[in-house]
Amino acid sequence: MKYFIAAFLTAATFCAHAQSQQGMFSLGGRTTYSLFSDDGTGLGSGGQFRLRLTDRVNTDWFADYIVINQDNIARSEYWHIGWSVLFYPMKEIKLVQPYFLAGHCFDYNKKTILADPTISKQRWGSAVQAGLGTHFNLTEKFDVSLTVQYMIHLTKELDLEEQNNSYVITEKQGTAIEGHLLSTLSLNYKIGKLWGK
Amino acid sequence: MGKIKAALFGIFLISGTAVFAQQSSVQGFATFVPGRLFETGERTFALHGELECVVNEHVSVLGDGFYQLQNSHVATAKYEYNHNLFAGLAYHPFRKSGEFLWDTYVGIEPGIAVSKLNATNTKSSIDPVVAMLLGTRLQLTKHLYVFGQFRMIHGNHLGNEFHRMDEIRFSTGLGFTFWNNP
Repeated sequence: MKYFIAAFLTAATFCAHAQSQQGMFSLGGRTTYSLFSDDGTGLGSGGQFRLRLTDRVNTDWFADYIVINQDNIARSEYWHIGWSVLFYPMKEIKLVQPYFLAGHCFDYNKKTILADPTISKQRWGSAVQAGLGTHFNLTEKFDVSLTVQYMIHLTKELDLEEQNNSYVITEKQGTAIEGHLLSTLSLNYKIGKLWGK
Repeated sequence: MGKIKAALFGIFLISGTAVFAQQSSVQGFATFVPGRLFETGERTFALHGELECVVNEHVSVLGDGFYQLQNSHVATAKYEYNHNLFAGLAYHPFRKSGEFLWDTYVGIEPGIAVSKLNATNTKSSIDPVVAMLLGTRLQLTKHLYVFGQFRMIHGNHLGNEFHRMDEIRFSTGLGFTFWNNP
């Protein structure tokens, strides 16, 4: 335990020095939980790269593939490809570095009835997302980040309907604002600076 | 304790050189891995390959592939196949360059599973999964190491039916260091 604490303190000291992060490019992987959606909960895998514009502003470019079990009736697949802007209220880089984020993504959804995969429907769309997160800077170059954001789909959603004891997939009428809460755990490694010193 | 020291000294004598942690290295292994599915309790068996790039003193980038082999212990195995691909990072909190390398690490790897239930009229499914790792490694020579690695896999199969793919796997064997930072 004392080694563990010592390692964390070393990392915290290591990360506390105020070197500009402007222009830093980092790369990593992520795993996402989709929650509070009409479809249900689901797990996703993906990756991202980050490009830091200033010491307070970072950008996150991501791709996610999320699969949701919709009531044991349908498989709902989401592809998200998009970007977010991260704003750091605290300029200093510390072990724990919180941030706000907001952004936009392109959103693809495909639903397939499990019992009859020939019944399937898909749609393309657009979405916006915003939320909170924090980096855990374990070393100067490595961080684990936890992000919680709500994504609103700006598209007509696909819906399941029961008709004559079987299910069909339909497009919802109207433009109801729906989405899901995305909880993401990401791992990032800082490759190097593209500009700045 | 004395016996352990003697054994380690013997390993150094055999290897002919003292082994120290390098700032960066590329290493990997291939081994057979047993596992257990939580949903059914059945044992699984797979071929496991890993490539790891240690990018600095405390961080490494990992890529892992699992190819499930036929399970002879179970007459009706849950999955006809359940292959996995993972990519992620590991954190080595105690590793220090220039010191004797007995390395312990934790890691997280997002990935995908390509699986199909062992039943007629089922379809193959590609589903996201995530793995948490806990491993240890002892460098024997400049190019050889022994390792042990626990892996908790979490994910769902969503082909024609919904099934949990949560599984624990334990890999052990001999690994090879391809390149060391001089």
